[in-house]
Amino acid sequence: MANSQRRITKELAEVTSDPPAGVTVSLANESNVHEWNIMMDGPPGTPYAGGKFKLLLVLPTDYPFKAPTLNFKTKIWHPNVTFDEKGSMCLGMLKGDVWKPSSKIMSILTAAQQLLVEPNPDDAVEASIAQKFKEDKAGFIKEAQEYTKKYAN
Amino acid sequence: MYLCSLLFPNIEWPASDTDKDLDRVVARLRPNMSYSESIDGSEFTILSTHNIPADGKMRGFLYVPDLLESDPCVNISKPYVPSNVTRQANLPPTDFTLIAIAPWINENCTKSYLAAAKLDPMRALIFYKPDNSTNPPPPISDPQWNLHDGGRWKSSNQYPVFAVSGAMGARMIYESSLYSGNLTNVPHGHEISEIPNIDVRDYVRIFTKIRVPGSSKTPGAWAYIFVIIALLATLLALTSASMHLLLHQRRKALQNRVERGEVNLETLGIKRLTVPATMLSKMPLFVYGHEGEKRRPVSDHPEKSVAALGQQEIPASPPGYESSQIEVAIAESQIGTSTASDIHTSYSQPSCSICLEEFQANITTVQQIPCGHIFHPECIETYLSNHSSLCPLCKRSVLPLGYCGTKITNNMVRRERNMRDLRSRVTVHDSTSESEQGTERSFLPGPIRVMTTFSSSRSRRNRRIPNPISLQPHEPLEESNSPIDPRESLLGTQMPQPLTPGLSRREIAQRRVLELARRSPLLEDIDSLHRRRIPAWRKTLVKAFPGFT
Repeated sequence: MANSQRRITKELAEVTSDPPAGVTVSLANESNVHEWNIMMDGPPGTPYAGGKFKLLLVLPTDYPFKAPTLNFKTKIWHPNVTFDEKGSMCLGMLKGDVWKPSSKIMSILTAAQQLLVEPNPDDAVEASIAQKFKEDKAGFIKEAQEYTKKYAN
Repeated sequence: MYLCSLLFPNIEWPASDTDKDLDRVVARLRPNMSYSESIDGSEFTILSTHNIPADGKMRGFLYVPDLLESDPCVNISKPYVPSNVTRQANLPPTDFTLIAIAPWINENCTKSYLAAAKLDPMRALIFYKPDNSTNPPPPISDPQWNLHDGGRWKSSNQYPVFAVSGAMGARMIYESSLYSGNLTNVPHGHEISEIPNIDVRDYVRIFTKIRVPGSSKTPGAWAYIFVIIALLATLLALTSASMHLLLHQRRKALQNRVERGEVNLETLGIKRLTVPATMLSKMPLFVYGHEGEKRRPVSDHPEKSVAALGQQEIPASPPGYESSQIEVAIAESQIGTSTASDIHTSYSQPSCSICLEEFQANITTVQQIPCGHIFHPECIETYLSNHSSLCPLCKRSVLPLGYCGTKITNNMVRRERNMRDLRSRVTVHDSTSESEQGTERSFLPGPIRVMTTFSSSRSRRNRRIPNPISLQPHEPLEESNSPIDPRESLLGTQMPQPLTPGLSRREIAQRRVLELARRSPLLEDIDSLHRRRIPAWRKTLVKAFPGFT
């Protein structure tokens, strides 16, 4: 769909020219605007600080009518991201019936960053991590830091 | 097969008897003055099963059918059939049933006997080969039973046909000839006539009972099983019908609620709806930043006239939208005109939020949907006709209130009921009333009523939800330390933003309900999703017993 391509190109230009702090965006493959590689720095002041996380943003062909998907390619120890190869992220605004075509990729990236700053243990996909986060904050920070060192360098 | 001599009254004498009274009227003679004979099932052959009664029992007085006088078979059969054999004329002229016996001499005579017997009220015909053989008659497949008409004689004669051995047949004919005359002429006739209450006009004749083994085997048991099966089938059909009826009523009820505007299927996340082309074409098109100016009449009260203009521009505006929401959006580019600032604009939209292209004043044609948002016509039409009926910006439905647009299915009904269950479980701590009264109140005033009558024990989704769920509207979301398992928690991130204190309790609860509903996997199309997962046998079961899932 030409319209979809145009919008994606427009958003890509916008995000590359003025990305959120600590985020760089590039196309996974120059000929395909539907897959974006995202490098996200762990936000300072969080256990993920110092880590560099690679994410893959896939925009469906009928974007913006259908929501994109965002996955962590770098393993991250976080209540809202599956701790496996897929690294699926539970981001509210990307859910099918919450998604609005007017939402922009910029806001998705900001929301993802925000989730690293403030994990949401009540909507966790990794229950054990969420429990740790709620019951043992210090232990959580320590463990998250260790995993960040291990995987996100 | 059983034969015996029976004593029975002359029909004209007691005058009252019929076939029904036969058992009462006729009497078996005492053994010392009678004839009786049993023929085992292995000693006779069934040649034709045509019209054997269901219980396999046939009975009647034994006789020999009368051939036509001109028939050559009369002479041919003379050596085998004594002249004084029991004929129909020797039996009282009533509706007693008969069983015929005849020799199988040759093909033609057999056919003659078959034809002659056809005219009589007989129940069966017994043939025998006049060969005096004591061997049981050959089986039905034997060529000697062949009349060279392809077996048509069996179906063309409406009675069963049996065969006995030659010796047996000859003896039956002989006994028949003995018991054909007056009471005094039959064997032991004088002794019989001395029995009290016996009239000389009474008859003694040979009575034959044939029982066909197999076909009469415990007919009661079969009937019993049949009745049980029929009962079960009826029960199942009734259950199925009542379930269908119940679900039909529920579908109807949901449809009515949709039509009354109480429920919007897509807003509740029950079913994705799309907008039909006819409705799309009714949404107003105008040139961005131009229309309002051009059509604004010169007037002393510009504000008033623009309000009127807004009304007029959207003739198909559904009830429920206030006029302020459908006023024309005027862009900043219009500020150049002196009156632009007078116009009350609900929305200031410099670009299409679908393609992100900016609108160009006086050039771009835009389309306005009922909530007041404007888009490129091609952008919004693609979206509304293929993906959703909700505004891409504010998620308000663009469909007129009460428009259903889809066939209500059982899955939708179930989902809607689950949602009502969820809603009934949401309770909100009202901090003011709590401090005053220390009570927790069940919530949701107004049109969204708490439906406590629905039992949710069957809903798996609901079972996991702790009850009641408490929610502090005036506290930030993250700090509410509700005793809820994190996985099953209802305080999700999908909350668009932390609850603001400005929200009314009702708004909070409405949001909460939507959150709860979205918790379940998104059903893009619940029906197709269900269809995919269910194996064929369950589909059939569900078809027969809807709701049984």
